[in-house]
Amino acid sequence: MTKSILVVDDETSINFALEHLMKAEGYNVATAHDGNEAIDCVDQTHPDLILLDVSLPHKDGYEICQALRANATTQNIKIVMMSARSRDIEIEKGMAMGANAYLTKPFSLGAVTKTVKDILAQA
Amino acid sequence: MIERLSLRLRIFLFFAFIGLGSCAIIIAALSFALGRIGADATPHLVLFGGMSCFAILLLNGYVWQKFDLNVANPIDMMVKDVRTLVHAGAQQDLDSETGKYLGFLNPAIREISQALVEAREETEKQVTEATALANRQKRRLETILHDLDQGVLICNLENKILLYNRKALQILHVSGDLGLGRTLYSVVSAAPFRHALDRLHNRFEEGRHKRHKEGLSALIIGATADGKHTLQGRITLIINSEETQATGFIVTFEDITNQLAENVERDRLLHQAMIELRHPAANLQATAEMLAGDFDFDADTRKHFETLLVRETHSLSASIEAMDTKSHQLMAGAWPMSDVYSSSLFNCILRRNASEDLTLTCEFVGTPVWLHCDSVTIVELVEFIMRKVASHTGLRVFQLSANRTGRKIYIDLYWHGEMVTMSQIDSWLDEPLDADLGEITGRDVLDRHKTDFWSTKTPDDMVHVRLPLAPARDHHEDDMEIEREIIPERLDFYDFDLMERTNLAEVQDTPLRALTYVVFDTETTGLEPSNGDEMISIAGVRIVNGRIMRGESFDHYIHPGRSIPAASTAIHHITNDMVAEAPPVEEVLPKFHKFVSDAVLVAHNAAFDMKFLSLKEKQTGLAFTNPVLDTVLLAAHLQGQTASLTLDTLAEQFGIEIPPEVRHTALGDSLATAEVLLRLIDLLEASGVKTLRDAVEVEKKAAAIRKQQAKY
Repeated sequence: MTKSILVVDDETSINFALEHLMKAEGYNVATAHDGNEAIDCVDQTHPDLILLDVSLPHKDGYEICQALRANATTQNIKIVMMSARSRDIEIEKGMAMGANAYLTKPFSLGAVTKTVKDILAQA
Repeated sequence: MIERLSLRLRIFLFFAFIGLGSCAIIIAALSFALGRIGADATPHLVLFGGMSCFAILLLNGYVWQKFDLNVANPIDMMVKDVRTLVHAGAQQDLDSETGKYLGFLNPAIREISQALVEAREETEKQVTEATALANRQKRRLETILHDLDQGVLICNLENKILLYNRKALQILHVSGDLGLGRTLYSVVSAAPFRHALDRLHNRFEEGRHKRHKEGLSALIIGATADGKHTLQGRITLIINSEETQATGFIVTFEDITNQLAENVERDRLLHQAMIELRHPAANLQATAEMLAGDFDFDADTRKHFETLLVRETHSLSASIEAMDTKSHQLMAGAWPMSDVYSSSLFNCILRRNASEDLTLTCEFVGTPVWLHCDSVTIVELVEFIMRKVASHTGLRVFQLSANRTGRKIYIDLYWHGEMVTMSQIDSWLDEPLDADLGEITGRDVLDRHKTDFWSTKTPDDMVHVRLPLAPARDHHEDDMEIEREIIPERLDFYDFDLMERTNLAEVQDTPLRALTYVVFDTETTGLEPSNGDEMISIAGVRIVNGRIMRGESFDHYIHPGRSIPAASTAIHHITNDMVAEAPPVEEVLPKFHKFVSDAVLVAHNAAFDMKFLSLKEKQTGLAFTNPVLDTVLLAAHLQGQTASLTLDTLAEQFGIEIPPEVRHTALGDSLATAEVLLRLIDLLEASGVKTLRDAVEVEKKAAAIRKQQAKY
């Protein structure tokens, strides 16, 4: 069965690029551009994996991650956090919130593809 | 003339005068009789005269001897005992047998002595009570100075250091031998300090300080004496209460060497970033504009431009990644912070909470650790969050722990119950912490510490919020151990009486009590320095204005370069193993020379110890040209050459206890000799020996007498 991915980033250019990259890799893709939209989207689409930016309007990525992990219906969704915040404390915080991986921006599209594949393969 | 002779000598002369006078009268009477009776009586008169004179002299001698034994000598001994009691404060009982033929004199003196001892005890009690209050205030000042994160030095107008705190030693990179009374310019570079002081003196003399925005204070940027560390601080003139005269100055400072280096590195990094980012940015811009522009490319050229676009993008990402790594290293420590023990931090949090309406119970779990932070704001932040969580969840019981994982210290606040979400925490972090801290929010505190804060559930179903902080910069063995080291030592780090002294160069005429001494002792392989015996230990203590500075002692073993005879080890208990790792004399004596500085050297039988020092002059290139006093010679002047003058005897006489375990250690004997010196100074002053010049004079006389005695 085709896996579904939700791309959440308020930067339209990277959102656009990741959407097309994931489609090209054969996944079903949905997109969201802020924290509230992301939560709504998860409720509607139940994705297998979320590419989640940390700095988002309304609800940030840490908060979304913690909320998803606290909810029994969403706690098993794989989450790859993406952020320009690259300090080790920020990465540690992301992982503590329940992310499966943390990618620091800028990253190569190849790295994103590989991370997504690896994590979905663990499921 | 006759008043300068001792009592016993004067009485002897008195009896001699009576004896010889009587003989002269007999001879005169017999001569007169001879003229009347005639020459025939000569043999009878000579016989009569000779026998009479002999009998008178014999009787006179016998009476003198009894008088000396039972009157003059006991009076002399009682006088010495009374003087020792009065001036040196030793509480020994007078011998009841002394002067038993002097009627009520001995009991009367003993009663007076007893009354004196009681009066002295009463006075001491009152003085103790009166000074207790002052001491408590003094300790408060000491605690404040000790805990300051800035170095503090207080100096008199001759730039002599009167006070320093431990942070000053640390910043100036001095290993505990800074020395009160030493000049400021031996530890810092003189020029900037001299210039700032000149400006402040001018400002004060012209009265400009009253309207100057900095008053009697000025900013100073200087360096340590070796130029290795840059200092920034303030220098402030101290003036007398009448505001007519400057009496000294205070310097507060911190080491900004690393900060400056970081600023330079930050500038360099920023500059480099601009250059490194401009290249790929320019390439990207040109390539992108070419691709987006209205150009007619063939397929190969378009492909080439696309390849360039990807390559330059990767190049840009790589540059950002490299600069990001470097900038993280610089971010640490931008805000002034200090090392703090987690249990102290937690106690502060509890005390802080006790002043709030909502009092909480908090248990500390785990082993305390040292961390590096701005403790004031961290205490406020943790207490604030604890209170917020309590209000939010209704809980009153928490646990706090600090533990080290890798290069981080985690402060964790635990509780059983409801989870608080990150959105909740984020909203708390945006609130101001405390009115006293101004508008500082929790987020500001986190930013200063380059850290973050988050909440999670633990595996055992507790909730905890976690605050990662940096580990301590310095190495700390154990909190309690450090307290033990610091408390007794810090008491001797100042002497404000030095403020009153104006010219230390005139030591010859300085009162003995006002001199700075280094009382020292050596332990050696034997008693013959000229025949190859060597020093194996040297120790000294400083006396400043009549106070032994126990926090400023010098105590080092020396590798003698030869074996220690068993007979010597039996006395001082120093074995070959104990000095095996010790530095040689060439390393230790320069340190001792620096410790002594311009103080007066004192030792018990100083000639012996000075001989060892002088024999090393060539080897070390250092001469000890300081004035020298010898407690043996000073005691000989006061107590007579026939008295026992060993360190043990003098200590016992003055009521000084030398613990057996430190007797015959260089430091133990130095301390005992220092105590003896202080008692001797009391007695010397009472006998009219007031200055160093006077003391050296009486020493010379005592030495000459001992030399004469040694001939017989």
